Amino acid sequence: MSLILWVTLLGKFAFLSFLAVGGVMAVAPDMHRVVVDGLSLVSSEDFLAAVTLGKLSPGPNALFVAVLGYQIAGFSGALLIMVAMIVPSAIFAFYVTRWRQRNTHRLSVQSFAIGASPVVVGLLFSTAFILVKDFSEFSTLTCVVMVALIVWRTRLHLLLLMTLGALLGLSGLV
Amino acid sequence: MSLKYFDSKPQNLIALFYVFSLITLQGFGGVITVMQRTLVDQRKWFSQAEFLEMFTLSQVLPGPNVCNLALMIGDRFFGAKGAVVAMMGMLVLPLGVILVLASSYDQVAVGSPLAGMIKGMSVVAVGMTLGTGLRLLSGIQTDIVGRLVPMFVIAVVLYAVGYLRLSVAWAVFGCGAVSYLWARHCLQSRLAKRKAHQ
Repeated sequence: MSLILWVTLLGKFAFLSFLAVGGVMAVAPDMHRVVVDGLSLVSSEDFLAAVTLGKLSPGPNALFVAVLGYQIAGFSGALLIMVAMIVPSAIFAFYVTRWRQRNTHRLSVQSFAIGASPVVVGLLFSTAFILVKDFSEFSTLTCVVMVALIVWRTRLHLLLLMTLGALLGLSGLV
Repeated sequence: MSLKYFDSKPQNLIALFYVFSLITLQGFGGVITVMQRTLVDQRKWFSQAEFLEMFTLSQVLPGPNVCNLALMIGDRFFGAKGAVVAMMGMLVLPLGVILVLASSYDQVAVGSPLAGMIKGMSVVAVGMTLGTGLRLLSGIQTDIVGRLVPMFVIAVVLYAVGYLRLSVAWAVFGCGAVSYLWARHCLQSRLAKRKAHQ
């Protein structure tokens, strides 16, 4: 992989980390655009596998970008992409936190907190919508809707849902 | 915010790293639940209200939510050093775990039972993302901004990013600006009403 490609990739991920309001999963559609559609570094199936591994393993879901990095260039790729993704937004978050602690009374601070929430929700729906387009069978789509309803309405343990998904996949039902 | 609510706090940076590592390693799909239980209910570093306030800000800031939250907490106790250590605690061990998983995933052949399993879990993962979105709907402060504008913003974001595949930047800056201005307008008229009342 050429140096220019690396700079492009890491620069784009660093930029995306600033847009990742509501968590890194919110910019998953944009990452898909960059690494799958734009630079053709990983396939759509690999991308979905990375998202899944991120959900399967303990820790922040954001770690799925490390899997993307790994798929592109092994362990060094994973580390580089994590640093590009996390460090800029962390520095930003650090200073904003300190600034906000001195300015909680401001109208702009309160408006932003309230105004940001519908955008965050819309981005989560978009992520689900884009990933769901990879599925075509009726049984699979039914399963997605069922899981969404369960997560929405109950406090059922997420590990249990994952296990059920694994069993359904193993038996070839989804 | 004063420090008076703190019943206890981490003794040093090593303790901070240890606690966040424990939290993150228990967090399958929902680190925030584990974090709340550990820091508020068990270790009593924060009151429920303090924790909720920090969580809200971490949701609005860019980057991984739970990492931002860890950063804030670390900063509260030990300044910039604490922020770095808490974030490392959140990331270092799970990064090791996920890379081991990723390297063994390479050997999964298409059509094998393991590939089927992972497909099944992918389906669940997509459902979880959708479910989280639905769940967060109730977090929108409809008592202040109403229902119509937030619903419109969500629909436009979904159409632009999900269907048209426009960049997320467009959604954050475009729809975010509209949503921000509306929230500001609502808060302002609320304030004016309250003043007229007095």
